[in-house]
Amino acid sequence: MKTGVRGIHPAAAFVFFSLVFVVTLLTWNPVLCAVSIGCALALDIRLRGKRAVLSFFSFVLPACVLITLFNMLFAHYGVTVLFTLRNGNNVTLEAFACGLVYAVRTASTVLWLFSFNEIMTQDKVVFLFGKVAPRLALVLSMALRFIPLFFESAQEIEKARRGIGIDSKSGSVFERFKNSLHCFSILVTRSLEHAVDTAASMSARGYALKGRTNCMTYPFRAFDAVLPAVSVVAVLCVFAFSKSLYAEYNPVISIAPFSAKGALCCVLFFSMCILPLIFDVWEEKLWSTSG
Amino acid sequence: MVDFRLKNFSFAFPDGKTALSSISLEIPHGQFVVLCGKSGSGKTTLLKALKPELSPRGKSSGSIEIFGVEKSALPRRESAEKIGYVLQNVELQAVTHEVKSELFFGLESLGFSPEKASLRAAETAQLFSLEKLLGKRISELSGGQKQLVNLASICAMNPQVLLLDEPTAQLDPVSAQRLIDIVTTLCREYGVTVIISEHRLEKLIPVADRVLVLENGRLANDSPPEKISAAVFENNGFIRACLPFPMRLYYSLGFSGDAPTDIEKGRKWLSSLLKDNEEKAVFQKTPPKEKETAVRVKNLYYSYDGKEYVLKGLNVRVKQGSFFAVLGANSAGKTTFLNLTGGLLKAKKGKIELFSKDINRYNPTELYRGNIAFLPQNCEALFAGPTVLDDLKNALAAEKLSETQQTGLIAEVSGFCKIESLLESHPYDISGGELQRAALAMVLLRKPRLLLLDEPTKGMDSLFKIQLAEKLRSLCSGGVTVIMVSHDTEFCAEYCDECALIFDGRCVFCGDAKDFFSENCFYTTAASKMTRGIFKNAVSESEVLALCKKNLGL
Repeated sequence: MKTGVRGIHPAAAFVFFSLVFVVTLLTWNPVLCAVSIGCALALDIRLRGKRAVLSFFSFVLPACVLITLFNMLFAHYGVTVLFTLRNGNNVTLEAFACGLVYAVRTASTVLWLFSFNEIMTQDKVVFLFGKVAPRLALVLSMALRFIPLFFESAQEIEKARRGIGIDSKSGSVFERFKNSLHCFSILVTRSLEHAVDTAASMSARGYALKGRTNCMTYPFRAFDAVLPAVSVVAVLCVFAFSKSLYAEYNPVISIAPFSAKGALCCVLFFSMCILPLIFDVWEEKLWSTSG
Repeated sequence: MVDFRLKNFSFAFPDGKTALSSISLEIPHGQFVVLCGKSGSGKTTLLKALKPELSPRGKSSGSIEIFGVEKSALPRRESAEKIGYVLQNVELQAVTHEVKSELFFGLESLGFSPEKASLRAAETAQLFSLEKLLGKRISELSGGQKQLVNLASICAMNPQVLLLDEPTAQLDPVSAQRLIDIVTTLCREYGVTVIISEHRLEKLIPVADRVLVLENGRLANDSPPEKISAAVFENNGFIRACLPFPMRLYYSLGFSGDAPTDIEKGRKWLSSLLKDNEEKAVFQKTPPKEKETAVRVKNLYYSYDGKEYVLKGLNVRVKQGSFFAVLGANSAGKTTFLNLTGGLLKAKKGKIELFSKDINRYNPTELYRGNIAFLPQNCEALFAGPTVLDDLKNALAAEKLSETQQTGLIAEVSGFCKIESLLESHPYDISGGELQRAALAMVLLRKPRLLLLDEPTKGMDSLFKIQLAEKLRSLCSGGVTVIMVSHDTEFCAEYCDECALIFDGRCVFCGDAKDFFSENCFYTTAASKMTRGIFKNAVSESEVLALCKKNLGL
């Protein structure tokens, strides 16, 4: 059995992640965005360790910078001019702020997705939807497996081709470029072929027949009730008090002033986001001391 | 009761290539059927034709009846429940990410209650000794482990028919024997019909009821194993190479009639044959020559997760121009060792010297162009398409050769690897064994000094293996060093100069192959087992044959 947050009940995980995604994707409030990205990064590092740090610095952070810059240079709304470009376009504080919040939102979504992939494994998806909507579950679980499989496959191909000197690190710059293209081409073909084969293998083993059961058992523990409960309360609050959380960047930056309702929402949202991490650490402590 | 009834069944792929032609066949329930044939002869296509969900698209004529019903009329549930199919490519069958859920998958589809499913999965896991793997991710498993999990997840569903496509190709001899024992038990005691396609027939012929041989999509032989007559044996080099050692020896010495099918019968026959002969021969070993060192591995450590060490202080020395085999149980670390030696993984501790130079001091371009060529276990990863020919050209692209030189080299290699007819095909459309040969062609084109091969003989038919061995030996005598990871003990014993056995992360034997195979009980050949107490030091077929002839005065 899996321990910590990986052993969470599929239904609890599903509720939690759906709500986190809803808030993260809808809010423009800088505090909520900061809470979301902070907690997402912390959980990702807890779950994936070095790989999380690596993917943050090599992929998430550069993407953030790019999105912010892009918005700043190509959106010209706003009134607070920071400086003027040679072509006469103004670069404004509003466009910068808006770009930044947009980038943080995107980044936190990606970071939550990384954790989602670790926790909502394919068997959990099938557990949740396999019976009511087997085809949806099939597509969902394949889509979920597609990304990790894609990367695993990429590494395998790169390694296999390095062994005969035709990978993206061998030869002249031109050769490397050509070899990279080849690698990518195999990767795409292979991934699609394998998806077809997996579907065939599933149907050969009776998938989508009527009367499917769930035999993988996931124990339902106190935490599996607490997490969705906290999440629902937090998200209801965020929606109910959305007026105290408004944030606009066009034409001027106007963010809701500090209020008790707004603060309550932020605290609740923070408790919801940090709960999985706390649980994971807490359970590890429990195992190590009781052993 | 008849499980399968084929009447004049023919099948052609959408591109017009005929795969099977007019096959008529009846397979009664509870039979153990072995299906053999060269790579690309249609074995997989025939097996898939018997499992509706996996049947390839194409043009077919004739008819197939399954359980007495026309194939297209067979209810889906019945097909899923009663016909279990284990795919040839170990990577493709797993549909979940974890061993445990993989075992449950089929049971859940069939609507088992959790209690019943748990019991069934528990039983199966024990039968296949998978207890320790249950919580592991499928992607962490070794090739052999995946193969076991694949079979187990099908057996858990308790099918009435088992269709197995080369199920032991990546298993060590001990696991392969266990797998065959399990399948035999299922057939004999539980009445499961077994149809198994396989290149290594040593272990299967003694238990099989029936041997089918496919040749270019036609049924060339359909008889009980002991009745594969001397005539078939004479005319058909392929069948000859497939048969178990005692049968081959029997026919090679010019006998006819019912041949001994297993080692026990073979030994009885041989000792009765030689009983009046006092002169019990000892095979004279040629002392190994001292040669320069090509690869020296000192105190090598490796771990994938930083906790569990796969290699723990491994030492190996490989001589230049040697044909070197690395043996060991499944997941013993053979592939890891080969990857480290080929520079595809970096050692955590220890030293690897290639041609007296530390591997870390080579730059990648230098290392993989002229020094090393590596054939990976999953060779599909080498191909980009759109045709096999494009891939071969791509392997030569860096050499800056003229068009004619390139064509010449490719013609030479593809002629040797027997892939001329496949050059225009997409690499994913050819059979498993053919893909293995095409990958070999790609690797050979690189003309390395050190050739590293990971399970090169899997999926290869016996006839091609002999040619491969000759090719590798000729490369070796030209100074190329070949290191091969393999489970194919017969192949290693027959052709390798030196070998190493990896156990518990260390190399417990490294030296002359003859010494190794003549003393072992499991890692040895049928020839050695059968002639123990009769001949001394005879390990390979050719040696035993020579001794027999000498003793019999032939």
